[in-house]
Amino acid sequence: MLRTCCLAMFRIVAVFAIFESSGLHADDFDPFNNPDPFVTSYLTDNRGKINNLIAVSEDKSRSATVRIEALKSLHKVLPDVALPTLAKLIQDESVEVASQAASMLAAASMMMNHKMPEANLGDHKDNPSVEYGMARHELIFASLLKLLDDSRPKVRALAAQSLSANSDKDGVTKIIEDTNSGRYSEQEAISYLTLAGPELVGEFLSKYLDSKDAKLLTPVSQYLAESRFRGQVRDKVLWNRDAPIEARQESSRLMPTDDLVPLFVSPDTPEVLYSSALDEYVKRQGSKLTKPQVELLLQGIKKFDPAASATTKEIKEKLEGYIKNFEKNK
Amino acid sequence: MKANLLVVLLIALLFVPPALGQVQVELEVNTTQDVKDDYVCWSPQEARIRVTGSASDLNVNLSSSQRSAMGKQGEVWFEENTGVIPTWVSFSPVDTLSLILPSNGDWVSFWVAGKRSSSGNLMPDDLTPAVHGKDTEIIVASSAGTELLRHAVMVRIRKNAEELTDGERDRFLQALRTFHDIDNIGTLAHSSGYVKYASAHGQSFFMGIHNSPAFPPWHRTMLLSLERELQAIDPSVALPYWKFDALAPKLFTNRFIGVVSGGSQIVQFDVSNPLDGWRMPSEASLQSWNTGNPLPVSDQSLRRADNAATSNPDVDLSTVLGQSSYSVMRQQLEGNYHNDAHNHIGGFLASLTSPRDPLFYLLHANVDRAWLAWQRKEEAFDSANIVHYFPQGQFDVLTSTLHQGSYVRDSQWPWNLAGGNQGTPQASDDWPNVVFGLSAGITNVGPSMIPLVSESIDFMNSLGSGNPHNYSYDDQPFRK
Repeated sequence: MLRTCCLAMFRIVAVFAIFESSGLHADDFDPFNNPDPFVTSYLTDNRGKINNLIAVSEDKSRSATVRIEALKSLHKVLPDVALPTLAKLIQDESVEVASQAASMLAAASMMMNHKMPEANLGDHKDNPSVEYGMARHELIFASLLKLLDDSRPKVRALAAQSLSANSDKDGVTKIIEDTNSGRYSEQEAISYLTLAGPELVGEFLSKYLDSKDAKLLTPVSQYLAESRFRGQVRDKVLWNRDAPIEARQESSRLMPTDDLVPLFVSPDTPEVLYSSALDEYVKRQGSKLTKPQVELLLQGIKKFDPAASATTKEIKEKLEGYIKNFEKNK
Repeated sequence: MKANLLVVLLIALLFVPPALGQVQVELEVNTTQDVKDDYVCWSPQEARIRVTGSASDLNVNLSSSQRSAMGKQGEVWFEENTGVIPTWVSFSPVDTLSLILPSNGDWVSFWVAGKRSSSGNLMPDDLTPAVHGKDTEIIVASSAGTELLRHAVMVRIRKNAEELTDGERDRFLQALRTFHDIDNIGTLAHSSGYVKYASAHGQSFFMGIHNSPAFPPWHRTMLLSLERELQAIDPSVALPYWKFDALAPKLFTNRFIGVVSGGSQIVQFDVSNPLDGWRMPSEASLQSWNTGNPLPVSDQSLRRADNAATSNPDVDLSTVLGQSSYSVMRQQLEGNYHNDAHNHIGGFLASLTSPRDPLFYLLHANVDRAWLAWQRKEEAFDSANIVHYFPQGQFDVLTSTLHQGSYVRDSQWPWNLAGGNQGTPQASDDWPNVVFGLSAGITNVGPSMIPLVSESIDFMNSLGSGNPHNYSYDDQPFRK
């Protein structure tokens, strides 16, 4: 047992030492270094086809359509084998080819290529698969990071979405910097950053909770409503009579049930928000709904005129129906 | 006069075969008395029958109840058990099986399976296994045609989600919801219902279940484990699959798996859908759930970036089926087929804890089905063959280059209850030992309580050397 532990410790240290000293670089990734002999044998058998597809996809004298088809075929030979070519072609002068390469690289960044936490390396010891996987990761993410500086918005957007969706710290930091410097519109930045984890971007996005623009406030409040920033969403959006109504409605669908109750007694709650919050409240309470709760809701709706609004009339009838049921089942 | 009559009657009774009215025929599917395991699929399962109280051997015929006029009922067929386990080559079932039941009450064994054409084009009937629970009966009749017994079974098959009836869909969703709502069960403080699967997947993401040979078998066991948990709630439920190489307009509705619209990532459900209000813990809390932390709080709404009702992932099954070795097939299956489906939907499905979204199981059932389709095409059911599975052997802490659970004779975490040791000396990052569902619902059909990678490979027992796991896909027959 002691020997195993010591050995494991030694290997953890050794693996960290390997990565620290080797300074893995994107260029280190070679699909022909796959540790699985069946895979390398398959690639060797298909080397002619692979080389031909790489040549066609990189041939600038050919049409973008042909080059893109070659890229797709290369990906079908084996996803890994296309990666070095994709990393090259994201900078191609043809925007179609570059976009396709960026899109395929972005797709490759998902699922298979989440970066392995350092804590996990210990268990993998001197596993050649680890080194292969880490090199692949470096290739993909270094390429995507580079794309954030591409002059073409379409290509840049693909990288921004992908890096955010992977909660890539370097990528997210760069997107925030670029948003502050005006490279992205606020709406663009929000659409990218709401794909990342709130622990990385929550602080930055929370400043938009003061926005009066529904296009900014709605997605941000929806995003932060289920995070540690939910208190701010409650105070600045849900309960704030000056906030855009769309954002208040969206947040009402996600906020804790107790936070909805003040909306029913507040004299300022607009009818449309009252209605959507009520639907959410009743749905969540389900069979736990009590007669005093319904009476409270009925009390709140008195401020609206059922004769003037079909919505109010409908809500009132619904609530009165609940009261009748309570009395019938007494 | 009366006394004489009594004597005559008494004498007559002496000549009546003993206990004629007490002849009893018993039938057990999966050779257990427990009817909880009386569910069959395309692969043959052992059953047995006997007669008691009969003075002489009894000739009986076994047949299946016929499909109803609605055509919605399963049928079964049979093969005599000669002591040799039927393989996907040898299995030759008949609609009516004649057996002789010895008068001494000994059991007579036979094989029973859901009826399905052997190969070639699908027949319409093949796509209509049972939908109403145990709506199929094994009918036992004497050779004279007198019905002696009806024994209820269900031909329970994993189907394309697009082809479920409303009832099947609702039972599946309700079972999922019931399982989701389980918090702490039993004596294990950390034993939660649905949440534990998402956490196990997230925490073992880098321990060899992705980017690794273990990807197909690990997920195969995971699906079966969750399915057994659902079946413990409602035994008529089978996991449907999302056939993501085609549009799925029935699946992506608010009555089924939910929809996103209007740029919002929050998945919407109909108020009558059991999945309405589905909440899961954050990824961060699931990833840090360990022996020292309490159960994570489920406070996150389900999020996706897209549906697949009007556009579907651009995947090509032929790239998977076209490979001749497991290693290359696995890379195509995971890297192309599977990843593209996850990426298409995004949101929770693009995270390490993707099983937070119940669509995960339908997606992976389709991946599992694709692996089976490749196995059938390449006849790759032999776990000892390196072309059918690689690597062979067993993990060795001193010499192995892959993670434990990758080698064919390895046991699979977390079902092996070996704890979530993440390879570091800190106990604080060890995932708690939590009981998973392989023991639930059906107790006597594979895999083992501590499942091995090898058991996943011939899970239908196509070669007759393992133990059938008792599940099938509608379009993947048992017979070659």
